[in-house]
Amino acid sequence: MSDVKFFNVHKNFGHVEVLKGINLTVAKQQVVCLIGPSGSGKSTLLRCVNHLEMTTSGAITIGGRMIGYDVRGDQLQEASQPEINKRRSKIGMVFQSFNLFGHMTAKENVMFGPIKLLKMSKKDAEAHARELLRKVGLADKMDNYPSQLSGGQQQRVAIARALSMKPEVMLFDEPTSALDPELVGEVLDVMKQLARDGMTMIVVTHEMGFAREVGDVVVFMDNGVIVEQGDPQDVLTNPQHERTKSFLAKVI
Amino acid sequence: MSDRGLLSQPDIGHDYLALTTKPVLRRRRPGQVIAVVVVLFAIVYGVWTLITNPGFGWVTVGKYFLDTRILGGLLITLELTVIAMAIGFVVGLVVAVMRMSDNWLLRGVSGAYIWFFRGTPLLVQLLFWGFSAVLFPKIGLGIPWGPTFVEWNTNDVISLFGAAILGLGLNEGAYMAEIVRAGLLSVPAGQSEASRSMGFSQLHTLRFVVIPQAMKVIIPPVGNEVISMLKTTSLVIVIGVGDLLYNTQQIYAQNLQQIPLLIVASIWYILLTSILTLAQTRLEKKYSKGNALLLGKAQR
Ligand SMILES: Nc1ncnc2c1ncn2[C@@H]1O[C@H](COP(=O)(O)OP(=O)(O)O)[C@@H](O)[C@H]1O
Ligand SMILES: [Mg+2]
Repeated sequence: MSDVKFFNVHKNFGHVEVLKGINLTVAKQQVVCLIGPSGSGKSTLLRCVNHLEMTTSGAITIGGRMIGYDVRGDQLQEASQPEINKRRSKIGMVFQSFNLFGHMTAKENVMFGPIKLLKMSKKDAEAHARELLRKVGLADKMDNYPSQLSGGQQQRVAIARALSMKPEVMLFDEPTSALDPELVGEVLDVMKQLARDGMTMIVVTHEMGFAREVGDVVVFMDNGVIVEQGDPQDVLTNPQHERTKSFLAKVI
Repeated sequence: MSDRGLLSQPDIGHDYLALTTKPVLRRRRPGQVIAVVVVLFAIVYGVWTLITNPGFGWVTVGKYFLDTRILGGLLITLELTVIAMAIGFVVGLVVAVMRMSDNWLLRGVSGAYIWFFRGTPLLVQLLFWGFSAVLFPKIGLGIPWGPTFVEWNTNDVISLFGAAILGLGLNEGAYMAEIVRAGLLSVPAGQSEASRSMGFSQLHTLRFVVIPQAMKVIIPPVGNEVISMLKTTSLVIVIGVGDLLYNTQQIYAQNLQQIPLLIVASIWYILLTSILTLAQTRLEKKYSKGNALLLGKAQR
């Protein structure tokens, strides 16, 4: 597992500054929960970690290394695309809308990356996929297409797919927000297990119960800045800032 | 107001429960009856004419149906269709991907390509390629404005068949580009994003994630394009390529049996079109993998 460090990260979309200098350290095996109102820049921050979005300035390191850039003298230079792809594959990402590959079965979704990118043999990849799907409780759904799975099951396959690349960090962008309430628990359970196994995780979530139980740190973001961060108990029960208080009053 | 409505007339005491035991009588539709009579009459008259009018020359049709010249032309027609569609598909894919690129030059070039090839008649394009030797008497490999390494006479390299292939293929590419683009756009952006986040390159993402799913949307119109291409190839007679129609013409220029020979050609065209339609249905099934509706049906 790796740590993740943000150094004064800025991100603009055109003239709009969406991230305004983010500094944050996520230690190895830590679970950091990102909370904050819609539009505050949580997804953008997450997408900057694996370089799906290019930062405008600042740096993000994973295990001491940047994904999209190299240091060249006293400047950052964009890395080559193959190099970015390679580094990016060490970071797993789980999306709000699952984004399972619709033309592949659950098992094929989980085998796809290892076969094509890790050059695993088909047999090994299949054994690996079976094990991962068993781990997320879907041993009996391996041959189903995503359209034949419930949202909760799809999201668990998506987690297995991300794990198939043996990531050092996992990013979750509101993994349960698209789920019916009764399906939220099964996904959170898988994530809790992952946290217990020592995965470094950054989780954007509105599940305050999860943040309290599993999170090592809660970070509250608003309008492109980190307003406050700290132990989940402290931040969630005894927020120091007005903005945090009013946000928590709305969601809890 | 409501108590004067149609449905509020007093119940006149039918035994509705008893009425439900008999089937409902259907109302006759006189217009429909007349239409059926007219159509039936037209069909009977048509068949009668086909049989009794000697001009159709059914005996001649039978005699030439498997004529070697007809079969040879048929082969050329098939070759033209297959190769032109293959070129069209590849060109279409490239142009479609360029059209969706971030780079304005690539977008512009592909836009211009589509604009030009859709904007001029195919017949004119075919004639152009047929006469291309006038424009470029020699073609060769070399550096533009620099030295040339090898050179050939255009007429030797680009045969009339080659000109036909180029004309049909490049034109098809423009239409195919729009079909492919619609297909690529039908795949949600989240699919590419998931693939990129795993570390797949843009090309791998396109090939393994986007295109397979776009096929569902691309196949039906491509099927139509193939069927349409099969018949459009007959335009190559203007540059003298010996396809099915051209050879048909050659035969009736000698024996003056125009109608029977055109019937021969038509039967072959319609036969092939029917086969292609069947193949299209099969392919559509294959590429709808993961489609909830079809999967549901398959399980039942
Ligand atoms: N691709 C984009 N282009 C322009 N603006 C964007 C883009 N993505 C996000 N934004 C803007 O950035 C802000 C932060 O968005 P986001 O990171 O999705 O917030 P959150 O995930 O906290 O709801 C929003 O105002 C959003 O409209
Ligand atoms: Mg978001």
